Amino acid sequence: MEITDLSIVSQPKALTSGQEPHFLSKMCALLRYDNCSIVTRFYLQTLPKNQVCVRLVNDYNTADRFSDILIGKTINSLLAVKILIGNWATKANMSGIGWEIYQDSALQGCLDRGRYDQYDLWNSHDPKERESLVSQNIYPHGDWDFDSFLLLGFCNEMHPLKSHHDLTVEYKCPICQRKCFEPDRIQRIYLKKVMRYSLLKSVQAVRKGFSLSDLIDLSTFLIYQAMSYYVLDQDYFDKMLKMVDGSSMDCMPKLYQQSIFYALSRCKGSEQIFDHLQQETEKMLAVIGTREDTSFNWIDVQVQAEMFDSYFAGLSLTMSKTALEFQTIMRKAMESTLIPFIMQLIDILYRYQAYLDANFHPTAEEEAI
Amino acid sequence: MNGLARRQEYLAKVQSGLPQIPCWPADLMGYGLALSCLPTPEVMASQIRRYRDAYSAEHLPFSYMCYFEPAGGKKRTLKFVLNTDNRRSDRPVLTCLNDDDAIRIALGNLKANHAMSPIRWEIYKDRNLQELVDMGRFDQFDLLGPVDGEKLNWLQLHGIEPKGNWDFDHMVYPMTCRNCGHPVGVNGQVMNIDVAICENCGNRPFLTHSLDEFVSELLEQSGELNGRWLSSRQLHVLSWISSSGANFSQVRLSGEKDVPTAELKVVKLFDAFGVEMLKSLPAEEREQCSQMLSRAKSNMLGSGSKSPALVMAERSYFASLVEHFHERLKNC
Repeated sequence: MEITDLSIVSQPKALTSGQEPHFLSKMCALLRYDNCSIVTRFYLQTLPKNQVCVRLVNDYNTADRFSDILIGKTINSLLAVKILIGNWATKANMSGIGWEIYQDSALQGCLDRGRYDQYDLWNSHDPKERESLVSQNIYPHGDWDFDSFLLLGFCNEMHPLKSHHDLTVEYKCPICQRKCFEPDRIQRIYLKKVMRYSLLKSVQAVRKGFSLSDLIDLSTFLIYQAMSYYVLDQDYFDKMLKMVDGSSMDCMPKLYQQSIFYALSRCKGSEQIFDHLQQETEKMLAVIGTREDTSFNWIDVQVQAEMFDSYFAGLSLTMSKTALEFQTIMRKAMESTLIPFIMQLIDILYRYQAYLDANFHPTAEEEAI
Repeated sequence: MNGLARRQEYLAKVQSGLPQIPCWPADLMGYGLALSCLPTPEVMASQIRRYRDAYSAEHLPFSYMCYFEPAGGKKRTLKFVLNTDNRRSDRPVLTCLNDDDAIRIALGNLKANHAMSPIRWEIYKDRNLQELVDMGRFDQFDLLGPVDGEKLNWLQLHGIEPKGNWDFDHMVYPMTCRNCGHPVGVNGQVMNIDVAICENCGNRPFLTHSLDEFVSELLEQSGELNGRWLSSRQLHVLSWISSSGANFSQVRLSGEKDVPTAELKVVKLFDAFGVEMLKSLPAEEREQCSQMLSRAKSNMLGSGSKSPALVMAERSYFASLVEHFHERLKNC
């Protein structure tokens, strides 16, 4: 029997191909079990015929197990239990959440623990054990992309396709062998505008002589904004078009939940990074300052900025809560190892900006949108 | 090879790709259909398996909770829990032999003919609802999975066997063919129901109902077509017939006697369609388009080449041509 879904979903392309490791695979290593702030606890109950049923602990503090949630029933094997838990948690955003499996309802002996991830859940030393489970109709099914690393899209021939968030890489459709998963023309224009607007704002801040803490707040806010656009799904983009008019602002929290920073915000960490972050932001702003004279037509940018001022005025009201939350998280709850990762993201954004400038020239009608 | 033997071979291939059970109370493959219109057994099995995985027991939002109570003799009753807080609201559902397999089969018989796809069943030892006995989704694979063949024969002696329609997901659409009255069922999860062909008479039971009125309208107006644009409705009919791969005679089998004259009219209509199409296309594509159009016409009239791959390719090309033509019509 063939498992077609497994080959697509639960094996990231970066790990299977022989290229350099993708930054998202590094991210998988960073979001390990020790950094998970929330833990879901499961325990087993034995059934006749060598079977067990798995229950989820609802309230950890009480000894009463009446309110626990029944999840399912499998054979008495640890790998089978982990597969059941993974199948149960599909279609959910589970990054930053860990799992623990206990022997009984007293929650004494911990059998295994990890985070919601294919490396922890679909993992065994014996390949024969997997095959024997598959022959008993126990296998991972559904979408095991718990960190929502992959974007669902369609190529030009409408074949379904999944890709990473990194839009700079051009992917080929496996069915029709064409270049695809480029962002739409309109989406590219919006990305370009937002990038230019954010750069403009930062340069203005430099000219006015803001203090360093303000600059850091601004830069984190800008990174957050850029990332929220960066991970934009095409379905949400239609709603964003309406948002420019100020008609609907409801999808912004959802966008935030889709972004990678939502995943980062659930990590524990120390305060040592903050000093390092200051230096990095200074470097970043220096880079922006050099770009002012060479690559941008600032008259166009200021016209576009006026267009976006009304939009961001409305946006800041809804985003103030999440942005504040994000800033506090950036200050307090990030590890020192995450800094190069974020700088790499910023680099990718700049590369994307350069790519847009080099290859893409919008017409007058599209510019008017 | 005989037709019956071929059908049995097909069934065996489908059943080998699915979880093994001693008997098959629900025929998920459909019934009364010609073998030529069905997909390959691997596709059929994988689609059914995929549906089962998407609605597996750990995902389902509702549960049908029951527990045991001893009855007289070797029997016991199964009580259904309506409200977990109120013990008085429990109702006895069935009394059965003191055997787990028997109770599972009786539970399936109780909920036969019902649509139970979002609900899972859970059987507990007592009213505390802490010690689980068994659970699963309403499905012949979960209800009959742990039963052996010998055990099933033993249970049949005591009058316990699967009865009624065990298609709890309502995958199969039941229908009687309008032409011959033959019972027909199509699994709508696996295949396009327009493609289904009646085994007895060769009619398309799910297609003819919907297209009869459209085609009769099309035939009435076909005399006036010379030198005019086709309407969007007529194009829709042509694309629908071509996309489902139907001959014109299969559509007009439903009791009407004007099939040869109607075919002549359709030939005229095709010619008019082809002329207009060729006008709108650039000069490079005209030769290819005219060849494909003639082949599509012969296919639709039932006298074309019968190799399935070629037919599929022509069908898709014709559908794309019709869509292209449709867009041009809109722009004009």
